[in-house]
Amino acid sequence: MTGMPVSLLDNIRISGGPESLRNYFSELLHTSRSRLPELLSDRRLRFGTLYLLKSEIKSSSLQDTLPEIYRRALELSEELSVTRPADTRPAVRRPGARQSGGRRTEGKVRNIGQMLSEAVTVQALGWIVRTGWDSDMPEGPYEYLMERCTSLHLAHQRDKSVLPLIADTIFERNRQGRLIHNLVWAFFEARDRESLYFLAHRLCSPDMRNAMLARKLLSFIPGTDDHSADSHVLYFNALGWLSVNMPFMYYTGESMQMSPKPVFYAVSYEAKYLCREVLAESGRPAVPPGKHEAGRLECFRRLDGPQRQLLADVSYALFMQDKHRWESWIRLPVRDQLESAVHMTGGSV
Amino acid sequence: MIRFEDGFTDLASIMARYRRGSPEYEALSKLSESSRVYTYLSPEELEFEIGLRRGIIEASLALFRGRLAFRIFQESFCNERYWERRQDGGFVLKTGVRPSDAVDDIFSNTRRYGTECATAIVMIFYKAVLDAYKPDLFDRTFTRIVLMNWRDMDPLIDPATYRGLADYIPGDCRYVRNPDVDPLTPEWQGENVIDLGNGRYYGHGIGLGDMEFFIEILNRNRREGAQVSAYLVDSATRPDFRGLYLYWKNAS
Repeated sequence: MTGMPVSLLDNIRISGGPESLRNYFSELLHTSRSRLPELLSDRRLRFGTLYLLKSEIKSSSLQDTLPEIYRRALELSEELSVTRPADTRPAVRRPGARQSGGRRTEGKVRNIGQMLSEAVTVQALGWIVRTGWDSDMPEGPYEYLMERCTSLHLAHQRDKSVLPLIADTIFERNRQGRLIHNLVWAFFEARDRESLYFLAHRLCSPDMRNAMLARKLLSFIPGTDDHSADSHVLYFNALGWLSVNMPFMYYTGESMQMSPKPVFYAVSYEAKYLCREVLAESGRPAVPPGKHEAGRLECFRRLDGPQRQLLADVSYALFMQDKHRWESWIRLPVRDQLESAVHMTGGSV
Repeated sequence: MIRFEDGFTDLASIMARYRRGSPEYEALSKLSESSRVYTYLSPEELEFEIGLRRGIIEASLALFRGRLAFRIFQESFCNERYWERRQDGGFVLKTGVRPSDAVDDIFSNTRRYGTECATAIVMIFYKAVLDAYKPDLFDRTFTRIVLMNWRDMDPLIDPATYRGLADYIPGDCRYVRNPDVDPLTPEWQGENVIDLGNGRYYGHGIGLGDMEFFIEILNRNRREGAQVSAYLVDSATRPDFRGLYLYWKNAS
């Protein structure tokens, strides 16, 4: 938010806090009510401010004066603040199965498909996510609402344009000791390999909290667990590794809920060996392998892990250097490929 | 198979100590019948691990019986006599209280606590270690405890996730992933479960049942039009059994 032009109402909220904002609003309501629609229609207005004034806007019947997106954002904030009904009852009572813990099951929310079929809702959701993660906003229900909106926007809408901002928010919240697990989950659920660069540049952050989190989120990159490594060397190595492996990386679905050290992305060595890009969301090849390639893969799969990685690395390096040479090489029997690969890498497997 | 570095070979004498059908017996059978070689320093180390696994199962059942509430981090709560609730929803051991009393309180006053599934597993791990170490050693060893998902766990417990294992053993923490979860309820993105043996599992917020039961419940909390079923991930998260054993042995 720093350096960006802010609206008058945002300015009051940021400098004086929620109470100052409400007091100013209430004062204006009595002294100069006609100014409020103009202030609430400011294109620079941020969602947090509108959220804090929700009750005042409703009680003074000002909703209808709001721009359509802001009005819809307020409606969404009510719909999404309701605890989503969770179904924990098995369809058929199973012998020996017993339930506990009672995940909360209150309220009703329209189904997502229906909700997001309206263009204005999608725009309102995007506006909430782009402007709502201000660090001065209170935690609790507001944070819960923002997590839900961000999950919906990234996991369902897959709007990748907000990923740099969400990456900033994750690191900022981590520095403040705030909850980041669901935000990290939503970030990766966008299934965008390129977004890893937004995390990578924190590897050389002078703030250790940023660097440590970046190492954790990028633990699938070799070398990130070496705490003695110079941070700039680590960063440039990570960039190099990402650019080489990017077409073959896929999202594993692991999360901070699942593991103390989640591996968020993995490399498909089969795809790298064939020099065929994979889909980030599944790891499946973007174009299914042909008959000859399938035959090569069969032999490739019989190799052990280090041999597969060696062949994949060498195959792609050769492909990038000299496509003609690679075309001859990939037709060699796997045993000959291995022999040449060992030779090319100086005899190491 | 099981191999002992001290040359011990009489595995049958260890197995004879456990009832057929018990989680301990199942664990020993799986380890000994595996094509993979499991190496232990001594029978004592094996029995320590088996005991800790039993403790994990007992602690899971205790949380189930105590009806630990399921709460997302924003709504988590704890007994503030022993724990301080952090702004991220985690709990930190209060200064001046005995760590063993604080951990025991979770299992005796369970209704005063509410959290999500990974933190419940962390509670279970600490309780199992407390039962293995006994209060004096536990209090000397774990002076700072954080209960917050998998974050900030004591380096001695140091849980790690092992992927593509040959064998899964009672007492393992497994994960059931729900890839098509409704994005409005990210808390249903998956469930950490404890393998209780005999094909049964405990998962906080869902309960006790076989794997189908957990998959069925997670599937009912997917987005509209979901096509991918929840599934058991081919991995297990385990505390550092050897590290815990060596520390215990050196301290005993």
